[in-house]
Amino acid sequence: MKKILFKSMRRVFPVLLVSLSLISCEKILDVKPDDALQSEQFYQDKFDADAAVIGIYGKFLGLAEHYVVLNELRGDLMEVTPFAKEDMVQLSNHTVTPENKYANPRPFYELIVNCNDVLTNFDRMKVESKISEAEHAERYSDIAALRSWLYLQLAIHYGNVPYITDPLAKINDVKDLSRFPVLNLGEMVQELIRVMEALPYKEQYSELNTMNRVIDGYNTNKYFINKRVLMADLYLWNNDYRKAAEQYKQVMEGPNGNVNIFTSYKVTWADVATNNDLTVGYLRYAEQDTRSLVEDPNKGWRSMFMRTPDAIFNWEWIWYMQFDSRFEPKNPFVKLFSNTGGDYLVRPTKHAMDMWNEQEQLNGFPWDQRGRWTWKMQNGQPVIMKHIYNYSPLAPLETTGKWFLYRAALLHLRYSEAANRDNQRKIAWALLNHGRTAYEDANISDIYQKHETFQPFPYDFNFRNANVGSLVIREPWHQSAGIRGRANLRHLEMPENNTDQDSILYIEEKLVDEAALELAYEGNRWSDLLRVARRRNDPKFLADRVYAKLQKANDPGAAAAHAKLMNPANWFLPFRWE
Amino acid sequence: MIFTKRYSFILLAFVLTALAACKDRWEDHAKLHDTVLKENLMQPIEGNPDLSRFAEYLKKTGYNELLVSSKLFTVWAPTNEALANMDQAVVNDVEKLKQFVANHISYQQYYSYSPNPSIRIQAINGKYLTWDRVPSTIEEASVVEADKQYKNGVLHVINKAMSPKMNSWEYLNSLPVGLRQKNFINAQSFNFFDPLQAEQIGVDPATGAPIYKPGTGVIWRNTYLERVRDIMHEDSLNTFIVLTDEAFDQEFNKLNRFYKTSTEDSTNQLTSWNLVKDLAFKGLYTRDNLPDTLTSLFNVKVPVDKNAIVSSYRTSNGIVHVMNKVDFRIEDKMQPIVIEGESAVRPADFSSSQVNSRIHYRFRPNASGNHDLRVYDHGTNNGFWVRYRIPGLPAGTYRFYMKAVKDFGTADLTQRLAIGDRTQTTTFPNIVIPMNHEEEVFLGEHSVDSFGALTMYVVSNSVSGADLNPIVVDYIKLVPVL
Repeated sequence: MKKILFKSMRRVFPVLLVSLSLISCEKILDVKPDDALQSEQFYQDKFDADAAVIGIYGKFLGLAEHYVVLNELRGDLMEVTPFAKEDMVQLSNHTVTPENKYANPRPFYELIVNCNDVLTNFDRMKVESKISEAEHAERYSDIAALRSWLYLQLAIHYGNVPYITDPLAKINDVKDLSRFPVLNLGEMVQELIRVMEALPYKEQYSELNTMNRVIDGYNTNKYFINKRVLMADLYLWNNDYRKAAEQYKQVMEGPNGNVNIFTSYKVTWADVATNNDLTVGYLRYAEQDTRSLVEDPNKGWRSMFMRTPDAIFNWEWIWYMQFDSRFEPKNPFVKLFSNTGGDYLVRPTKHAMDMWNEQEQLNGFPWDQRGRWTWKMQNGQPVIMKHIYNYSPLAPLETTGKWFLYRAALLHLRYSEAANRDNQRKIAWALLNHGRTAYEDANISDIYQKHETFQPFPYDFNFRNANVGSLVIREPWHQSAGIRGRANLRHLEMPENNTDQDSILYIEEKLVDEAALELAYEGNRWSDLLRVARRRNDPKFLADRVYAKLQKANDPGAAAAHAKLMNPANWFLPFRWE
Repeated sequence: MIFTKRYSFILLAFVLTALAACKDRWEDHAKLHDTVLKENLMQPIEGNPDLSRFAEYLKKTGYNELLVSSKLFTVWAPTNEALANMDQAVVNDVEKLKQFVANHISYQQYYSYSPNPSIRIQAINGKYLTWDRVPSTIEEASVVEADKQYKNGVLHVINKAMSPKMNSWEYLNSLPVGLRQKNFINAQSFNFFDPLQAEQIGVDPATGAPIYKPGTGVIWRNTYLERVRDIMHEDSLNTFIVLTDEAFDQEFNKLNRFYKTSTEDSTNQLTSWNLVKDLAFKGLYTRDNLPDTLTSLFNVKVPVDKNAIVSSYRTSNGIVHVMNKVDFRIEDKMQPIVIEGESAVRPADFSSSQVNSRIHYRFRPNASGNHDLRVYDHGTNNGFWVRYRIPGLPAGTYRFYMKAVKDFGTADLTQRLAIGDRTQTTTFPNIVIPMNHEEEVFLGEHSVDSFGALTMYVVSNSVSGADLNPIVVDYIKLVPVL
């Protein structure tokens, strides 16, 4: 069965090969290959350009494991099992040596060199009128944004990294750092903001674009990076809170096209009658009954990790990629997480389990069901399940799965982080807790005087949901449940008599805690801890959490790791090129 | 390169020829030179004049053929001196002799350093032998010559014969004392017919039913062995107490009144059962390591006075103590009975099957068993009920308690417990339990005349309103008044 993605990849593969040979063995370049296209022969029309984009994303998929391991194992929610190799052990307890495999940023740079090559060729095609200006803008912006995402990851993990945009750079040139500017995290963020602001196109691929199609049975429209959330994240790293909120809010208003504006990216309430929703749900009237928990693979919070990409899937997911057992690369998560069929290299920390068990549900049950769904005991071992719910050891070759990159809950928490710092604490607190209910006020009878933030963009939310006579009012945010509301958890208490500054810090901390509960193992943890610690200039914020993980695991190096992380210079991995 | 390749071919051909030529020498080389390892276990036993009797028994029972086979064995061979006083009844009965000889042989190889410090080894007759490292003894015999390695196993010479021991069940049945206990436990035996185990010899032409060969398919069972502890089973260690008849009577008379029924036979049966169920224990408690109180398999404390031990016998699967007194405390025997609220089964134990969604098995950290039961918004204004059944409640007077924490709504909880008939309101009237009341509340006393099943109902307040007529049950507790 020949697949279109395969075909496309085969067309672009020569280009990648050429770049690779540039990297690995210069002398081979002297020989012209007879059976492969030269790059000059390749970029001829729009479809070649599409193939190049698909080729880049195909290779990008290979970074999934690296991304999750780097961002989660360095944080406080994931630890190694006895089966993990030394490279991972060092990542987990913050003793990475330059010899460690993860000290080598090559996987990122290989793709960056490919991106540079593709971008240069796109420019050439535009000059040679092989693609239109509009066709160029969409594709160029996509690859440039993906490259920016890669650089942000590099800067988060390695600190000072060479910034290369030169298309002909050979990857071994990175060794000679003097040839390229080396940017630290702050400088990198500013440079990437400059790049992103200059992009000619900032939306997803337009409806009629040839990139928006079905490949191998999968709709591709959410495979490509969402430029606005990346821009917003960059602004957030740069402490440009208002600008960050503006970008996040634009995405929150929902994707274009034929979607449900009330539910898309809005983190909405339960459908109590049918339970066709993404909440932690119980059967109607039996919310107090342990046995009535909705655990259907197509219903509830857990289903967002299990269901096929349908309408409800699209309420939540902003960016994800698909692994399929029929084509490369193989799903790396079975090997990483599973103890039945995989290598079981990592597992949840005691610290993470404790965080979930400190929560209380609205029905009084003392746990967070999201935790019970994120990991579970399997053959006596705690196993992280999010990525491998659709994997069964009885069908070991069916390794279809997804790489979860960005979703509505993350969007809400990041927006709230920005809003909180921009002195919009009420909406930040509301979206973290129970959403619309914060704007209900029994003392106000006029519904037009409540159910709204009454703030200008990007803080404008209208939650109104009322019937006035024959008039049915359903505003876009009327189903907003908030992150904790959707998870069936109690509203958090705000300490009384806080100063404004105390409140900001308190809300920020709760947002980071909630991100752990909601988003664990999706690859956001380390950057969340790093960003907030850096903003607060408070190494303890990060060091204490990593310490809690190591200390609860009885790691003898816990105190040493804490002391090390108290120095911001040690927040980054050694940078080794080979 | 080609040069080297050609040479390696020549070399290979050379080696192959050489190998073929010196085939015999290779065999010599690989041969075992230690002559002892060429011998099977039977040879040294026959060759040793001091083991001639054991060798003779081996031949008589046919085990000599087993010991020349290629499996691996350990043999503990008693010397002639040790066998001098053998019971001739055993020697002359091949079956008994087989049991005896097999008690000296096990599969696999065990050396004198295998026990650390002690292991139980199953002999090929199914009995277990206890082997201690220091001093090197097996059962009561000492090892005279240890660790002789032969082709198919290891041989130890010992200075005492090891007659197969009875297991605790066999020992109980051999006892001349403790007849009441012995007879009672034996009375729990029954046979039943299992057609799957029976041999079918034909089909009844009239009915089409199978005809089985008489005597086949009959299975023997004993309720005591199944429901208390299988003291017949060789694999695990038990401690078993046998009461002398006087001690049995004394304890029987203490318990008798709780098991009043319509017939004397069933009273005797129930009383005896409840007495002997607490006399079997897991693990080995010899006289030396016997604590003053054991806990039975039914969680009853059993006082054991070493001075009351009349005799002790180490069986193949534990130990049996014959005792002339085990002074049970009645409050240990008659323990409070707790019925968990969440044990009611939906929908069978509830007054209407239409309201499953209103019946809530709740997780509550402070609740007994971490769960309680709530029925909320059921819409039954004349008394919704939940049924609980205690299958066998001893006769006597009980103090009834209930724990029910209403942690929702605003009104206090009003409900009642009805005994036997859900409409009766006289035993315990409606009780009002304040909101969030974490203590159990006392309902009152109630007596039952005879042993038997007790059915209870928790009935909701006969009013309307979801907050006024819910049912909440964490547990109901019956404390016997002794």
